[in-house]
Amino acid sequence: MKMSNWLDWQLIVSGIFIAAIAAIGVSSTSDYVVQILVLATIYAAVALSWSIAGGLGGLLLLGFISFYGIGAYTNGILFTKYGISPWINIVLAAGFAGLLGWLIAAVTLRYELSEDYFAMFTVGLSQALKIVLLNSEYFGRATGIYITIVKDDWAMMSFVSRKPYLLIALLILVVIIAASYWIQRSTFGFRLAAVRQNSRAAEALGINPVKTKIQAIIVSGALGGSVGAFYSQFVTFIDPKQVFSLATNFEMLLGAVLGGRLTLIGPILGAATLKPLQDVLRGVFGGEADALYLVLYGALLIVSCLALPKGIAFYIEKWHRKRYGNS
Amino acid sequence: MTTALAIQLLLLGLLQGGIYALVACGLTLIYGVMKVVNFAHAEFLTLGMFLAITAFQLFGLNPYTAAPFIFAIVFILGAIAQQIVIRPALRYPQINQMLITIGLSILLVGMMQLLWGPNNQVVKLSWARATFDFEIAGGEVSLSYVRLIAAVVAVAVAGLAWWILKYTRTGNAMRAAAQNPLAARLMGINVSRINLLTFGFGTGLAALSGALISPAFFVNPTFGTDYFILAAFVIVVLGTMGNFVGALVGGLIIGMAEALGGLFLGAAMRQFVSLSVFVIVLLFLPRGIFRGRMS
Repeated sequence: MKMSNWLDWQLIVSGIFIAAIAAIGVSSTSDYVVQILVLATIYAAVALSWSIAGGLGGLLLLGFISFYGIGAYTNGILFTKYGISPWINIVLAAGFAGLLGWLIAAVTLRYELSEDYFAMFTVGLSQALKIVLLNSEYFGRATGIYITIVKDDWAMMSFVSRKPYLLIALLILVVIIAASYWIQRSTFGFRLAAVRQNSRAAEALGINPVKTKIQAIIVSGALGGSVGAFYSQFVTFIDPKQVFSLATNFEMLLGAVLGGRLTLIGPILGAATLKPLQDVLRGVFGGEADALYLVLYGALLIVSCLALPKGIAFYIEKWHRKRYGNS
Repeated sequence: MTTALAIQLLLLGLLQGGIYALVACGLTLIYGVMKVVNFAHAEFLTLGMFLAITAFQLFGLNPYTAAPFIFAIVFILGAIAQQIVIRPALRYPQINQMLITIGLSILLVGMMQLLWGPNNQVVKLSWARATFDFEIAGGEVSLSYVRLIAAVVAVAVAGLAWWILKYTRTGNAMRAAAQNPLAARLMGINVSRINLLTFGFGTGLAALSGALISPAFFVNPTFGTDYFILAAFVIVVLGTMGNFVGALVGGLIIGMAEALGGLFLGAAMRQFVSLSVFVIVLLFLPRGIFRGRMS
């Protein structure tokens, strides 16, 4: 691992960043600060999960919240109804979300359909899932699911204090960073890049573009699902409007786009800026903050797509290239 | 199930379908001409509903009198939005274009929440609950006047829009730009002006639909996304993206499919019906009922 390699540099910087967050969180006396740090970490983890298909794969996987919501409900149901440990549920959630990803890919990637269909289908699906859950008795309808936590229990991922959750959230983020890092160095990552840049040329070189895309959707979806499962355990209350919210969906995507969706640190950087920004606004403007935040991040999304189409990380990469003078 | 009930449901579906058709026409027109999926389309419908509420509360205008003004206002707003954010986006990859229209959608939701607040509102028309009743097949069918007017006007406006596309110079220029922007430009058509008009016109139609249904639904800033965006997507895909007549036919089909699906699955599951149709279209009719023809 060398600082002069851009990918390695990003891995090291993310590592330092995570250690710093952990240190701030553990030494903080305010539950509020820890809460924001956990949520920012969750957003970073989702943004990074999405960036595998949405960034590296160049797929228009716009309705990403479906995976997150499925994950959240997997833990919500299995924990409250069957008493299964969230540690297991996180893995199961990845399985269910991965399965959903495979189904989406199977429906939309046939016949070489235009990417527009894919984008519209994923967005539509997330809203349809929301409606189904809102009307299903088993999933608690609009009331959602409450997770009650009475005492500390590591085996059941239940803590009265918020701090252990921060460590678990960071652990999940580390796993996803590792996955993304590994993918970017593997042949799978190179196949993804080839398909993203020129699907026809990639096919001519013997790469199966459809298969590569399906794999990317499954990996992205599975990771997003496991983050959702953790989220439900952390907030202890989920309902369909919250975990299938399009606003949240695009907020998470904005983190990745603003930061740089083709990089490792981009999505982390984006989420780390946006989530605290929301809370600062809430502090300054009070009740109107939610609306102002919507205006602000809508505008930010537009501006960042027009002015910084490659994200903030692109400029860091440029600096890195200059600093180390190679690759 | 009695025959009368079945007729009632089909008619209700048809009425809903008329509104869907008008919303989807604008969406498919924008896609056809500019190849941009307008994710902010439903927000323009919501905006139309809120403007109808303001016109009613401030000036005592009923939504039908206000509708032409609302169309004009949103036409201009849409044209401005296209000039500022969509036009510069056209040279970027698809994902940027989509994220930009999504940004526009979020921005509009936020602005509407600032201006009108997050709570449910409705145009309190005195006869909003009046119904048109008649007997058929030994049972009674009852249809709300508001929905009836909305659907009839919507279909009439969509027909008018089709006529404009087919028989006016500007309409022909739009269709030419949809078929081949480069060739259209070579023929002396100002394609950027056409894009401007198309986006204004499409979003104006969405706002007009919103004004028409404003006495029948409680509106809040996310109303459009919650109830219309999925149906609109399914309709344009079913009717072949970019095909104006397809959107009309697709709107009516989806309206009725949802009404029938609602009967068997419960009214709240209507969106699930739309999604099922989406899956069926993707699997068996990937080019829509008009087999990929754009106009």
